[in-house]
Formats: sequence, C-alpha cells, structure tokens
Amino acid sequence: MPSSTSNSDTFNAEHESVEIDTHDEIYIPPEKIPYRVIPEQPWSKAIAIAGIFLVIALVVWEGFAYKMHHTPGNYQTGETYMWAAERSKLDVSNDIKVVLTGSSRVLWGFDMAIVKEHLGTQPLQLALPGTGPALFVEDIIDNTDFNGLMIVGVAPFLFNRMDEGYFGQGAIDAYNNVSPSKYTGAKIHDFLSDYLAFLDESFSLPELMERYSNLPYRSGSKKLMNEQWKLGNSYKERLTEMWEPVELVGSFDNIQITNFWSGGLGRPIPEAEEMNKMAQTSIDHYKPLLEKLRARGGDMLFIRMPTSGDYLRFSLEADYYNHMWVPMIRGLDVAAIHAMDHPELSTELEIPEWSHLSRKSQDDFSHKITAFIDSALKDKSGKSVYELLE
Amino acid sequence: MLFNSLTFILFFVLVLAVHYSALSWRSKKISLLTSSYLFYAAWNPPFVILLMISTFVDWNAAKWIHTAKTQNKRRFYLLLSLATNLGILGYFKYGEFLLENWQILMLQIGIDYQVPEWSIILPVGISFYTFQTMAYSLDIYLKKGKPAKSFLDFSLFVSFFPQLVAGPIVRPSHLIPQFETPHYANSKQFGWGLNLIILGLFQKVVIADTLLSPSAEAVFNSSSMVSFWDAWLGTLAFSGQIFSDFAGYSTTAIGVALCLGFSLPTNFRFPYAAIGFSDFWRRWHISLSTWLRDYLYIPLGGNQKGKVRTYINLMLTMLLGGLWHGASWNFVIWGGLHGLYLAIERFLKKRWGDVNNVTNLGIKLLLGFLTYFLVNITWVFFRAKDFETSSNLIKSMFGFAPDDAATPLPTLYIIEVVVVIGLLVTAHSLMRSTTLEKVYEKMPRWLITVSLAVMAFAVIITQGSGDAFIYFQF
Repeated sequence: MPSSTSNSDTFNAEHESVEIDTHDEIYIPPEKIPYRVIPEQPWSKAIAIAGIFLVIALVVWEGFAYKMHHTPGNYQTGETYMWAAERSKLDVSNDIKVVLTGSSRVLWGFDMAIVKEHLGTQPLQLALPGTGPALFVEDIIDNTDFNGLMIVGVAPFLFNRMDEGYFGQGAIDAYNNVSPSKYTGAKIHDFLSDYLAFLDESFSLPELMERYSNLPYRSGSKKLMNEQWKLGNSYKERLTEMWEPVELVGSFDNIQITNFWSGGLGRPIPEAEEMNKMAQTSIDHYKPLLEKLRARGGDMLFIRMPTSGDYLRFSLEADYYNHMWVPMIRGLDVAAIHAMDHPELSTELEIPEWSHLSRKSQDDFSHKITAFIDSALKDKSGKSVYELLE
Repeated sequence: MLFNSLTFILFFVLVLAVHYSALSWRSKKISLLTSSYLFYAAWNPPFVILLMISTFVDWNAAKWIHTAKTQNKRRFYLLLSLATNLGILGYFKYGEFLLENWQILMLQIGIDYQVPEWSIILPVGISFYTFQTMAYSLDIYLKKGKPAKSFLDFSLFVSFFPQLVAGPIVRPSHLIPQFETPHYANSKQFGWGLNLIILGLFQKVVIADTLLSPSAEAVFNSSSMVSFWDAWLGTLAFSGQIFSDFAGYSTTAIGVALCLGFSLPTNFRFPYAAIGFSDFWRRWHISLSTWLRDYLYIPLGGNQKGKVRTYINLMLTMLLGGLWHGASWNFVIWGGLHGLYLAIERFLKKRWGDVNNVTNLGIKLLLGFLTYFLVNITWVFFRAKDFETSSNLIKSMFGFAPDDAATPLPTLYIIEVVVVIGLLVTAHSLMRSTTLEKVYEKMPRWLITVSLAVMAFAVIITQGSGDAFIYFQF
C-alpha cells in the first residue's frame, strides 16, 4: 500500500514514496500520542526546597537594595504609563487648573502637594525627561478643553525640539496605543513596587553589571558606566525626586551623571543667529496655541529652571538668555520666570549634578515659586494666579 | 502576552486554578479556549478575529474534503483552505514586500509606480498558527488523518495558548486527541513542567536578553564597518541569542502545557552540536523543518524524481522556509544558503559517504566546527536589517575590515559572549547524543534544587525588560 511516510531524517531522507495525491482510501491512523518522558526525580521536594532558597535569596537581595538606597514606592512607569494615566485625566471631566510641561528640570523641580498648599489646586505633572514640550502643549490645547494655567519649562537647546525627544515616544505610545498585556503588566509592577525595593529597574542585574563593572576600557567601545545611572525616584502622580546618593557632590553616582552631561556639553555652542531662529520657531509654534488657550480663559507661563556647574557655564557662554529667552518671551508676550534672575530660585538652591534640584531644594522651590508665578502673571495681564484659577 | 511578564504569571495562575477545579472537562476546555483567545487578544484584541476565521474555514474545509465524493471537489476545498490561510498570511506579512518589489520591477521597465502607504500591523505569530491549521486540512486531504470530532477541540488545537504565537508547530494528530479526554498533570509532570518553565525563562531573560542581546545589537546596529573580532563576537552573540530566545520560548511552552497535563513535541535538540546540515535541521526548529519536509519537500517530489529535481526541491523548500520567517530578501538569502549547504552536503554524501558514519573524534569535531561556522554565516543575513549591513559584516568576518573599523564591544560584553557561547557550544556538544530528560535524570538531587533556585533568582533579579521573543514576528 502506498504511503507518504518518510523516515525521521529531515531533508535528505530517502522517503519511501511520494504518492500523495491518491484516490486510495488509505488512512494512516494517528500515532499514539508521544507523551513526554518525565525524568525520575523527586520534583515536588526539589521545587519546595528551591522555593525556600529563592525566598531567602530574595530577602537578602531586598536588604542589599535598601543598602544601595533603593526604596519601595518608586515606580518605573513614570515616563510611560503613569504619564499616560495623568494625561488621560484631561480627557474626562476634571477640575485640573494647572498643568506642568517641559523636560526633566520641571519634573524634578515641583512638588505638587506643596504647590497645592499655595495655589489651592494640585498641578498635573506632564513634563518628560529629554523632551521639548512643543508636541505635548499642542496636544493639550488642541485635544482637551483645558482652560487653566499651563507652565512650560524651557531647557536650553532641548526646548526648541519639536519632536517627541528622547523619551516622549514611550509616553505617547503608552497613551495612544497600549496593549492590554502591557497595561496590566505595568499596573502589577507598580503595585509590587509599593512593597519591593529591588524592583527598581536601576537595581536590575544588567544595570548593576554595567554600572559597577570596572573593567579596562576598550578603545572605541561604548562607555557602559556613562550610560547606566540613576537620577531619581518616581512616586504617585509623578512626583519625582532626586535619588539620595546623587545629592552628594563628588559621590560615584553624582559623578556618573555629571560625566554623562559633560558628553552632551562637548558640542559646539550654537551661533547667535541660530538661537534667534530657534526663538522665532518657538514663537511661531506657541503663539497660536497661547491665543487659543487665552481665548478659553487660560494662560501660559514660561519658566527657565535653574542650573549650575557646566550647564550654567554652557548657557552663559552661549548667551542663551539674550539670544533665545528674551526674544522668545518678548515675541510671545507671555508671563515668564527666569530662575537665574532670582537668587531664591537659583543660587540659594542645591543643584548637585548641575541640572536638577535636590529633594530639599525641590521643596524650597515649590514653596517659593507660587509667589513668583503670581507676580509674573500680574505683571503681564494684571490678573493674579488665584483669579486665573478660579 | 509574554511568558516573561507579570501579566502572564497572573494569567497562568488563574488558568491553572480553573483547570484543576471541579468543573466538567468540557467547561475546562471552553475555559482554555477563552484563555487562549485572551492570551492572543492581550497584544491586539481585533486580531483574534483572524484566528477565528482560520478556525472556521479549516474546520469546514476539512469536513468537506473528507466527505467529498470526487477528487476535484476535494481539491477545491483544499484550495479554499490554503487560499484563506495563505491569503491572510500574504496580506499581513508579505503585502508590503510584494508591493515594494513590484515597484522596483516596474521601474526597471520605465514605469514609476507609486506604492500606496502600507501601515498594516503584523499579527504576532501568524506564520505559526497558519501553518498549524493548514496542516489539519492537508492531513485530511492527504488522508493522513480524520476530521476532529468536536469543533471545540479543533478550535483549541488552533489557538492553544502555550504554543500559539511561537510554536512548536503541533500536528493535529498530536494535540487534538489530547483534548478529547481529560488531561491533568500528576505531581511529577507538574514539577518537571515548572522546571522547564524556569529553564526556558532563564534562557530567554538571562542568556538571550541580558548576556547576549546587547553585544549583538551593538555590532548589528553599528553605523560603520566593525573590526574582524567585533563582527565575529557580534555574530556569535546572535547565534546564542536566537537559540536561547527561541528554544527558551519552546521550553517554556512545553513546560506550561505540561503543567496543564498536555504534551507538546520537542522543538530543539542541541543544534550547535550538529555535524552537517541535515543534522542541524533535525535539531533546529524541528517542528518547522518537519512541516516543510512533509507538506512541501515531499509533495514537490522530494528525492524521488531524480537528482536535479532533488536539488531543486531542496532549494525551493529552504528558500520558502527562509521567506516563512519574514518578508525580506535577507531571509531569502538565509534560506538559500541553508538550501545550498544541504545540496552540497547531499552531493558530498553521495561521493564520500554519510558524515554520521565518521567515527574519528577529531574529524567529527572539525565537521561540527565547520557546521557551526557556516551556520553563523547564515545568521548574519538573518539578523542584519539590510543587505549592506550583512555584506559589511561578512567582509569583516573574512578579514576585509578597514584599519579604522569600529570596535563597539566593551570589555564586559566580550567576556559575556566568550563565556556564554563557550559554555553553550560545549553543553550542546556534551549533550549531542542524549536528551534533556536523561541529563536531568542523572543529575544529583541537590544540583537540581540549587539550579532551580539559582535560575529563578536570576530571572527575577534580571527583571526582563519585556522584550518580545524574536520569533513572535514570524
């Protein structure tokens, strides 16, 4: 009887016949189900004992995490799902009157609970590290009915980026296009992060290996230690604070970050003309948005957060203030605060890694900033912030 | 849903709870089917409809093939099944590729044909479940099997979540009968299943994603030509990454199914210990290679229609096997190289005899090394994003890198690749003639316990980044 079976060889097998298309009523019954062989071992016992070992190891690992200044309650989804959750609050009926946009300096700069003490309303934190606010401000003005105060952070040479920047795409994807499995996974991870410090992704094995491996540098290769660093912790409602070890100037974790910033500061200082163009591009982008928001009864306030060290030096050398900041604010005719104009908002604060406020300074800044906001708005429109937020 | 995700842990616990509850077997199967659809919908809910279409069409087509009185009718219903499955596959997977190549072809004859924008998302694992369900209709047509007795069992066969998106591609005769009667794992099966899950996740999360993927990425994503050593290390890293990623998925899938009491076939058998390419394909992605053998190579005539046809059949099978992986000429080259290797091996076998008959250890090692070397050449085409990258890498691997070639790999990555690939190839060589089960049977109990704890601990503290398995895209 013809058959279409072959021996077990794959392609060079000498199969017996190729008579496939046959009218013969052949029927090869299915083989007996080839059940898997189970190795003879005391599996239940092995798994139970391994489970005990695993729990002990995790307890020790958790202790190690604490020792390395990692703490529970720190979420890993601040730049993606938590951002998306905050942004979604504007899509439903809400009483949000203040929105914070911009890059990491705004994120690390504001303690929303403290601002609430002063303004009577809790700001919505939508700033994202490594991004310019252009796309996000446009989204909020065009796609929601927000009519309060929008605070827009201006970080030199990042502000003028009109795209999603370094981390914006993750946030946009999490907001627009999240799969149910990713969303659920993020929720479970955040829930577990309330109890387990070692879930901090900066404490994952690959990051630890890259951060602390002190092997000889191979010429031309990427510098691992420069890429794996931790700047802050992200808590509920995207309250973001500097990570404790970074606050100590000269510490390993502090130097890792300043080394990384130094890499970015190696670029040539833009020409004055180029900065003027940046200012004009920003005016062109924000002017219609500002008018739209004002027509609804809201307003914008642009803020330049303080810096120190080489970041401050770079922006002073570039004269960003005169070539970009002043023409842009003048062109937009908008309320603005340049932190370096006010010692209480700059030189009196701690900026341990040149770019972001320490935890203590975040509190100080958040206490002081509302009076400056009020004053800046009054200067521009004659209306106090409290009137605007009514 | 990824196996290496917190969502899956929660999902699997719930599935197990229902499976071992007091419900009837039919209710449990309905629950498994619902879970499987949920598992798939967790990526992109609307794509479950594709699964349902394939299920509905093949269920009916197979029934009609079985009861058809004439050969023409049988052929028509088979074509209906093939057209539906390959149509869906072609639209989602090859549409853009075909249009782009059509545009190039038109340009050659002076017609500037503008390709419409193609923004179709590829449903995960579409090639896997399409081949699995097609095997059902083909088996009925080839009279190798009878239609399933129950639509529920067949639906579950098409969508069974442990192997739905990345295999193993299971034959109907293997899985459908298991759904007919109650299947539960005993404590030994459950324990071994858990062990396989942990081993599979260790392969994926720790070896593939953590230890090897960064090196492969650094080399394959380099914007300039890399040095001889970097090219080789990056390629070796990818050889280990793709094995650990894919075999890790299969191992986890087998373990998950086993915990539920079901048996899935082995998909990998220490492929980097292969001596020759027939041997390699008996060890690598076994469920695909046997599928291609049974439903493509043999129907094409296999080795029964003369020497020339045999070589043509081999090449065709492997070229289509390459294309199965993705709509890109790089995959075609990958398949073509494997076809060429198999053809050369066959040619040499006729003259010098079968490599399996070689007894000299030194020659065996040499042939094994040659096989691994040649497999690595094919991986370059498999992994590179375009032909320029692959040709640059091949040049570097053969010593034609410029003096100022990039050296992207840091010392840590070099150590990781050398150690992991060294251990991996050694382990494959040592286990070449045995099975994982036999190795575990001989292991001391304390070592099993310690290895389980260490692997689980490593998986947890590595905290996978949630990267999808490489083969999901196929």
